[in-house]
Amino acid sequence: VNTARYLGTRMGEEVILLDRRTGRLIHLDSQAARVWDNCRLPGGTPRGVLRELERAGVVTRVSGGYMRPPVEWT
Amino acid sequence: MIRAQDAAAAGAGAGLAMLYGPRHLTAPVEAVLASLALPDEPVPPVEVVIAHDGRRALGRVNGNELWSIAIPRHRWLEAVTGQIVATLVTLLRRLVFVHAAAVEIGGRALVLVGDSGAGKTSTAAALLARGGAYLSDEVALLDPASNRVLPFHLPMAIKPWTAHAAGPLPAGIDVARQDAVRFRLPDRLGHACPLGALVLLEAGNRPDPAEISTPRALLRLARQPSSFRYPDRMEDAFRAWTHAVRDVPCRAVVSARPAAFADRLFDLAVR
Repeated sequence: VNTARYLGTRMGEEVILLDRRTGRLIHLDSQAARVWDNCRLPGGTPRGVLRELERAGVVTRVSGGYMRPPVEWT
Repeated sequence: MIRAQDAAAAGAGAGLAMLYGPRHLTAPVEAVLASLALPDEPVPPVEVVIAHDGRRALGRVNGNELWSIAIPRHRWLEAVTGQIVATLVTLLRRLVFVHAAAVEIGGRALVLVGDSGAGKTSTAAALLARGGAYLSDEVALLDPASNRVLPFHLPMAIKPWTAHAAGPLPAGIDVARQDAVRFRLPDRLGHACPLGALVLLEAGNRPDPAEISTPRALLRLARQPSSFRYPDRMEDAFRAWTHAVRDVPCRAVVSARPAAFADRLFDLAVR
Protein backbone atom coordinates (compact mmCIF):
# COMPACT_ATOMS: atom_id res chain seq x y z
CA VAL A 1 0.00 0.00 0.00
CA ASN A 2 1.41 3.33 -1.00
CA THR A 3 1.37 5.79 1.84
CA ALA A 4 3.71 8.52 0.67
CA ARG A 5 1.90 11.81 0.68
CA TYR A 6 4.04 13.19 -2.14
CA LEU A 7 4.60 11.92 -5.64
CA GLY A 8 7.77 13.39 -7.09
CA THR A 9 9.80 13.70 -10.23
CA ARG A 10 13.29 15.05 -10.69
CA MET A 11 13.85 17.07 -13.82
CA GLY A 12 17.49 17.98 -14.11
CA GLU A 13 18.40 19.81 -10.91
CA GLU A 14 14.79 20.69 -10.19
CA VAL A 15 12.05 18.75 -8.50
CA ILE A 16 8.30 18.79 -8.88
CA LEU A 17 6.05 17.22 -6.27
CA LEU A 18 2.37 16.41 -6.25
CA ASP A 19 0.77 16.66 -2.84
CA ARG A 20 -1.69 13.81 -3.00
CA ARG A 21 -3.65 15.20 -0.09
CA THR A 22 -4.33 18.65 -1.51
CA GLY A 23 -3.75 18.12 -5.24
CA ARG A 24 -1.19 20.93 -5.17
CA LEU A 25 1.94 20.89 -7.31
CA ILE A 26 5.09 22.10 -5.60
CA HIS A 27 8.08 23.20 -7.62
CA LEU A 28 11.55 23.19 -6.10
CA ASP A 29 14.03 25.13 -8.19
CA SER A 30 17.63 23.94 -8.23
CA GLN A 31 18.61 25.85 -5.09
CA ALA A 32 15.53 24.74 -3.16
CA ALA A 33 16.00 21.16 -4.35
CA ARG A 34 19.61 21.12 -3.15
CA VAL A 35 18.62 22.48 0.23
CA TRP A 36 15.73 20.05 0.42
CA ASP A 37 17.98 17.10 -0.43
CA ASN A 38 20.23 18.03 2.51
CA CYS A 39 17.63 19.37 4.85
CA ARG A 40 18.83 17.29 7.77
CA LEU A 41 22.01 19.32 7.63
CA PRO A 42 20.88 22.92 7.78
CA GLY A 43 24.29 24.26 8.75
CA GLY A 44 25.50 26.40 5.90
CA THR A 45 22.25 26.19 3.93
CA PRO A 46 20.29 29.35 3.24
CA ARG A 47 17.83 29.64 6.09
CA GLY A 48 15.47 31.62 3.92
CA VAL A 49 15.13 28.72 1.50
CA LEU A 50 14.44 26.32 4.35
CA ARG A 51 11.78 28.63 5.66
CA GLU A 52 10.25 28.76 2.18
CA LEU A 53 10.25 24.98 2.04
CA GLU A 54 8.67 24.87 5.47
CA ARG A 55 5.99 27.28 4.32
CA ALA A 56 5.41 25.09 1.26
CA GLY A 57 4.88 22.17 3.62
CA VAL A 58 7.63 19.97 2.21
CA VAL A 59 9.95 20.12 5.21
CA THR A 60 9.18 19.94 8.89
CA ARG A 61 11.25 21.50 11.61
CA VAL A 62 12.53 18.87 14.02
CA SER A 63 15.00 18.92 16.85
CA GLY A 64 18.38 19.73 15.38
CA GLY A 65 17.25 20.54 11.87
CA TYR A 66 14.61 19.83 9.27
CA MET A 67 13.11 16.67 7.91
CA ARG A 68 11.60 16.08 4.50
CA PRO A 69 8.64 13.77 3.99
CA PRO A 70 8.80 10.44 2.22
CA VAL A 71 8.28 10.79 -1.52
CA GLU A 72 7.32 8.21 -4.10
CA TRP A 73 9.46 8.95 -7.14
CA THR A 74 8.21 8.45 -10.65
CA MET B 1 -39.10 23.23 -18.10
CA ILE B 2 -37.10 21.07 -20.48
CA ARG B 3 -38.66 17.88 -21.76
CA ALA B 4 -36.65 15.24 -23.56
CA GLN B 5 -39.62 13.68 -25.30
CA ASP B 6 -40.38 16.80 -27.33
CA ALA B 7 -37.99 15.96 -30.10
CA ALA B 8 -36.19 13.00 -31.51
CA ALA B 9 -32.60 12.63 -30.47
CA ALA B 10 -29.84 13.51 -32.87
CA GLY B 11 -26.53 11.75 -32.41
CA ALA B 12 -23.34 13.74 -32.64
CA GLY B 13 -19.64 13.11 -32.50
CA ALA B 14 -19.54 9.35 -33.06
CA GLY B 15 -22.16 8.76 -30.37
CA LEU B 16 -20.47 10.99 -27.81
CA ALA B 17 -23.55 13.18 -27.41
CA MET B 18 -27.27 12.68 -27.88
CA LEU B 19 -29.09 15.92 -28.56
CA TYR B 20 -32.76 16.65 -27.89
CA GLY B 21 -34.62 19.82 -28.72
CA PRO B 22 -35.71 21.98 -31.63
CA ARG B 23 -33.94 20.98 -34.79
CA HIS B 24 -32.76 24.50 -35.61
CA LEU B 25 -30.85 24.46 -32.31
CA THR B 26 -29.60 20.88 -32.23
CA ALA B 27 -28.46 20.87 -35.88
CA PRO B 28 -25.60 23.36 -35.48
CA VAL B 29 -24.48 21.64 -32.25
CA GLU B 30 -24.52 18.34 -34.10
CA ALA B 31 -22.51 19.85 -36.95
CA VAL B 32 -19.84 21.19 -34.60
CA LEU B 33 -19.51 17.89 -32.73
CA ALA B 34 -19.69 15.65 -35.82
CA SER B 35 -15.93 15.36 -36.32
CA LEU B 36 -15.20 14.51 -32.71
CA ALA B 37 -13.97 11.12 -31.56
CA LEU B 38 -12.22 9.80 -28.48
CA PRO B 39 -9.86 7.10 -29.73
CA ASP B 40 -9.72 3.95 -27.62
CA GLU B 41 -11.61 5.51 -24.73
CA PRO B 42 -15.28 4.60 -24.55
CA VAL B 43 -17.30 7.09 -22.55
CA PRO B 44 -21.04 7.08 -21.90
CA PRO B 45 -22.87 9.51 -24.21
CA VAL B 46 -23.77 12.92 -22.85
CA GLU B 47 -27.50 13.52 -23.28
CA VAL B 48 -28.23 17.18 -23.91
CA VAL B 49 -31.71 18.64 -23.88
CA ILE B 50 -32.18 22.14 -25.27
CA ALA B 51 -35.40 23.93 -24.30
CA HIS B 52 -37.78 24.94 -27.08
CA ASP B 53 -37.27 28.61 -26.37
CA GLY B 54 -33.51 28.10 -26.60
CA ARG B 55 -32.92 29.63 -23.20
CA ARG B 56 -31.77 26.63 -21.21
CA ALA B 57 -29.96 23.36 -21.72
CA LEU B 58 -29.34 20.47 -19.42
CA GLY B 59 -26.83 17.66 -19.59
CA ARG B 60 -27.23 14.09 -18.35
CA VAL B 61 -24.97 11.08 -18.22
CA ASN B 62 -26.37 7.65 -17.47
CA GLY B 63 -29.67 9.30 -16.59
CA ASN B 64 -28.10 11.58 -13.96
CA GLU B 65 -28.47 15.29 -14.52
CA LEU B 66 -25.01 16.86 -14.30
CA TRP B 67 -25.69 20.44 -15.28
CA SER B 68 -28.32 22.91 -16.31
CA ILE B 69 -27.24 26.16 -17.90
CA ALA B 70 -28.81 29.36 -19.12
CA ILE B 71 -27.90 29.66 -22.79
CA PRO B 72 -26.49 33.08 -23.60
CA ARG B 73 -27.95 34.92 -26.58
CA HIS B 74 -24.51 35.90 -27.78
CA ARG B 75 -22.26 33.04 -28.99
CA TRP B 76 -24.65 30.42 -27.67
CA LEU B 77 -23.24 27.67 -29.91
CA GLU B 78 -19.80 28.00 -28.36
CA ALA B 79 -21.34 27.94 -24.89
CA VAL B 80 -23.34 24.76 -25.51
CA THR B 81 -20.64 22.83 -27.37
CA GLY B 82 -18.08 23.96 -24.80
CA GLN B 83 -20.26 22.61 -22.00
CA ILE B 84 -20.64 19.28 -23.77
CA VAL B 85 -16.90 18.99 -24.41
CA ALA B 86 -16.14 19.91 -20.80
CA THR B 87 -18.47 17.13 -19.69
CA LEU B 88 -16.96 14.57 -22.06
CA VAL B 89 -13.40 15.11 -20.88
CA THR B 90 -14.37 14.68 -17.25
CA LEU B 91 -15.66 11.22 -18.14
CA LEU B 92 -12.26 10.07 -19.35
CA ARG B 93 -10.77 7.28 -17.30
CA ARG B 94 -7.63 6.46 -19.26
CA LEU B 95 -6.64 9.58 -21.16
CA VAL B 96 -5.71 12.85 -19.47
CA PHE B 97 -6.59 16.29 -20.76
CA VAL B 98 -5.72 19.94 -20.48
CA HIS B 99 -7.41 23.04 -21.83
CA ALA B 100 -5.02 23.81 -24.68
CA ALA B 101 -4.61 23.95 -28.44
CA ALA B 102 -2.33 21.53 -30.25
CA VAL B 103 -0.77 21.41 -33.70
CA GLU B 104 1.24 18.59 -35.23
CA ILE B 105 4.46 19.84 -36.77
CA GLY B 106 7.01 17.47 -38.24
CA GLY B 107 5.44 14.48 -36.51
CA ARG B 108 5.44 16.10 -33.07
CA ALA B 109 2.79 17.98 -31.15
CA LEU B 110 3.24 21.59 -30.16
CA VAL B 111 0.84 22.24 -27.31
CA LEU B 112 -0.30 25.80 -26.59
CA VAL B 113 -1.46 26.37 -23.02
CA GLY B 114 -3.19 29.56 -21.98
CA ASP B 115 -6.29 31.08 -20.48
CA SER B 116 -9.30 31.79 -22.65
CA GLY B 117 -8.49 34.81 -24.78
CA ALA B 118 -4.74 34.27 -24.52
CA GLY B 119 -4.44 33.62 -28.26
CA LYS B 120 -4.43 29.82 -28.52
CA THR B 121 -6.71 29.69 -31.54
CA SER B 122 -4.97 32.47 -33.46
CA THR B 123 -1.54 31.00 -32.75
CA ALA B 124 -2.71 27.53 -33.76
CA ALA B 125 -4.23 28.97 -36.95
CA ALA B 126 -0.95 30.74 -37.78
CA LEU B 127 0.97 27.48 -37.25
CA LEU B 128 -1.50 25.61 -39.48
CA ALA B 129 -1.04 28.23 -42.19
CA ARG B 130 2.69 27.45 -42.06
CA GLY B 131 2.16 23.76 -42.72
CA GLY B 132 1.14 22.30 -39.38
CA ALA B 133 -1.67 19.77 -39.06
CA TYR B 134 -4.61 20.35 -36.76
CA LEU B 135 -4.84 18.37 -33.52
CA SER B 136 -7.05 20.49 -31.29
CA ASP B 137 -8.29 23.95 -30.44
CA GLU B 138 -9.70 23.45 -26.96
CA VAL B 139 -8.51 20.22 -25.41
CA ALA B 140 -5.13 18.54 -25.64
CA LEU B 141 -5.53 14.83 -24.92
CA LEU B 142 -2.56 12.82 -23.75
CA ASP B 143 -2.50 9.04 -23.85
CA PRO B 144 -0.38 7.83 -20.91
CA ALA B 145 0.02 4.37 -22.43
CA SER B 146 1.59 5.52 -25.70
CA ASN B 147 2.91 8.88 -24.42
CA ARG B 148 1.27 10.57 -27.40
CA VAL B 149 -0.88 13.63 -27.86
CA LEU B 150 -4.12 12.55 -29.52
CA PRO B 151 -6.24 14.45 -32.03
CA PHE B 152 -9.40 16.06 -30.72
CA HIS B 153 -10.92 17.40 -33.88
CA LEU B 154 -13.47 19.84 -32.60
CA PRO B 155 -13.70 22.60 -35.24
CA MET B 156 -11.78 25.76 -34.42
CA ALA B 157 -14.01 28.56 -33.14
CA ILE B 158 -12.67 31.46 -35.18
CA LYS B 159 -13.74 34.88 -33.96
CA PRO B 160 -13.21 38.01 -36.04
CA TRP B 161 -10.28 39.09 -33.89
CA THR B 162 -8.79 35.59 -34.14
CA ALA B 163 -8.80 35.89 -37.91
CA HIS B 164 -7.27 39.35 -37.65
CA ALA B 165 -4.47 38.15 -35.36
CA ALA B 166 -3.74 34.92 -37.19
CA GLY B 167 -3.38 36.28 -40.72
CA PRO B 168 -4.46 33.91 -43.51
CA LEU B 169 -6.64 31.21 -42.02
CA PRO B 170 -5.98 27.54 -42.67
CA ALA B 171 -7.99 25.99 -45.49
CA GLY B 172 -10.94 24.02 -44.25
CA ILE B 173 -14.69 23.63 -44.06
CA ASP B 174 -16.88 25.95 -42.01
CA VAL B 175 -19.27 23.45 -40.45
CA ALA B 176 -21.32 26.15 -38.69
CA ARG B 177 -21.51 29.89 -38.19
CA GLN B 178 -23.07 31.77 -35.33
CA ASP B 179 -22.94 35.50 -34.74
CA ALA B 180 -19.51 36.37 -36.10
CA VAL B 181 -17.90 33.07 -35.10
CA ARG B 182 -17.06 30.43 -37.70
CA PHE B 183 -16.51 26.84 -36.69
CA ARG B 184 -13.86 25.67 -39.09
CA LEU B 185 -12.51 22.17 -39.41
CA PRO B 186 -9.11 22.51 -41.10
CA ASP B 187 -8.36 20.31 -44.11
CA ARG B 188 -5.05 19.11 -42.74
CA LEU B 189 -5.79 16.96 -39.74
CA GLY B 190 -3.04 15.68 -37.50
CA HIS B 191 -2.53 12.25 -35.99
CA ALA B 192 -1.43 10.95 -32.61
CA CYS B 193 2.18 11.97 -32.02
CA PRO B 194 4.64 12.54 -29.18
CA LEU B 195 4.86 15.92 -27.51
CA GLY B 196 7.44 18.13 -29.22
CA ALA B 197 7.14 21.44 -27.38
CA LEU B 198 5.07 23.05 -24.67
CA VAL B 199 4.31 26.74 -25.09
CA LEU B 200 2.64 28.89 -22.45
CA LEU B 201 0.76 31.95 -23.66
CA GLU B 202 0.82 34.74 -21.10
CA ALA B 203 -0.51 38.27 -21.00
CA GLY B 204 2.13 41.00 -21.22
CA ASN B 205 4.74 42.21 -23.58
CA ARG B 206 8.12 40.59 -24.05
CA PRO B 207 10.08 40.64 -27.27
CA ASP B 208 11.12 36.97 -27.30
CA PRO B 209 9.73 33.62 -26.26
CA ALA B 210 11.41 32.86 -22.95
CA GLU B 211 12.81 29.46 -22.07
CA ILE B 212 11.26 28.16 -18.89
CA SER B 213 12.02 25.10 -16.85
CA THR B 214 9.87 22.02 -17.32
CA PRO B 215 8.60 21.99 -13.71
CA ARG B 216 7.59 25.63 -13.98
CA ALA B 217 5.74 24.88 -17.23
CA LEU B 218 3.97 21.96 -15.58
CA LEU B 219 2.92 24.17 -12.70
CA ARG B 220 1.31 26.54 -15.19
CA LEU B 221 -0.29 23.72 -17.16
CA ALA B 222 -1.85 22.26 -14.02
CA ARG B 223 -3.58 25.57 -13.28
CA GLN B 224 -5.67 25.17 -16.44
CA PRO B 225 -8.88 23.16 -16.47
CA SER B 226 -7.37 19.72 -16.70
CA SER B 227 -7.28 16.22 -15.25
CA PHE B 228 -5.17 17.73 -12.44
CA ARG B 229 -8.37 19.29 -11.10
CA TYR B 230 -10.01 15.94 -10.37
CA PRO B 231 -8.87 14.08 -7.25
CA ASP B 232 -9.28 10.68 -8.89
CA ARG B 233 -7.25 11.74 -11.97
CA MET B 234 -4.56 14.07 -10.65
CA GLU B 235 -2.02 11.34 -10.07
CA ASP B 236 -2.53 9.96 -13.58
CA ALA B 237 -2.18 13.50 -14.90
CA PHE B 238 1.03 14.05 -12.95
CA ARG B 239 2.61 10.81 -14.14
CA ALA B 240 1.50 11.30 -17.75
CA TRP B 241 2.57 14.92 -18.15
CA THR B 242 5.87 14.60 -16.28
CA HIS B 243 6.71 11.69 -18.56
CA ALA B 244 5.60 13.49 -21.73
CA VAL B 245 7.37 16.81 -21.12
CA ARG B 246 10.70 15.35 -20.03
CA ASP B 247 13.40 16.64 -22.42
CA VAL B 248 10.82 18.70 -24.32
CA PRO B 249 11.49 22.43 -24.81
CA CYS B 250 9.16 24.71 -22.86
CA ARG B 251 8.69 28.37 -23.74
CA ALA B 252 6.59 31.25 -22.48
CA VAL B 253 5.27 33.69 -25.05
CA VAL B 254 4.33 36.86 -23.21
CA SER B 255 2.39 38.92 -25.69
CA ALA B 256 -1.05 40.22 -26.56
CA ARG B 257 -0.47 38.81 -30.08
CA PRO B 258 1.26 35.45 -29.67
CA ALA B 259 0.43 34.51 -33.29
CA ALA B 260 3.14 36.99 -34.31
CA PHE B 261 5.65 34.45 -32.93
CA ALA B 262 4.38 31.61 -35.12
CA ASP B 263 7.55 31.39 -37.22
CA ARG B 264 9.74 30.93 -34.16
CA LEU B 265 7.36 28.46 -32.56
CA PHE B 266 7.24 26.46 -35.78
CA ASP B 267 11.07 26.32 -35.81
CA LEU B 268 11.04 25.26 -32.16
CA ALA B 269 8.80 22.32 -32.97
CA VAL B 270 10.90 21.08 -35.90
CA ARG B 271 14.26 21.65 -34.19
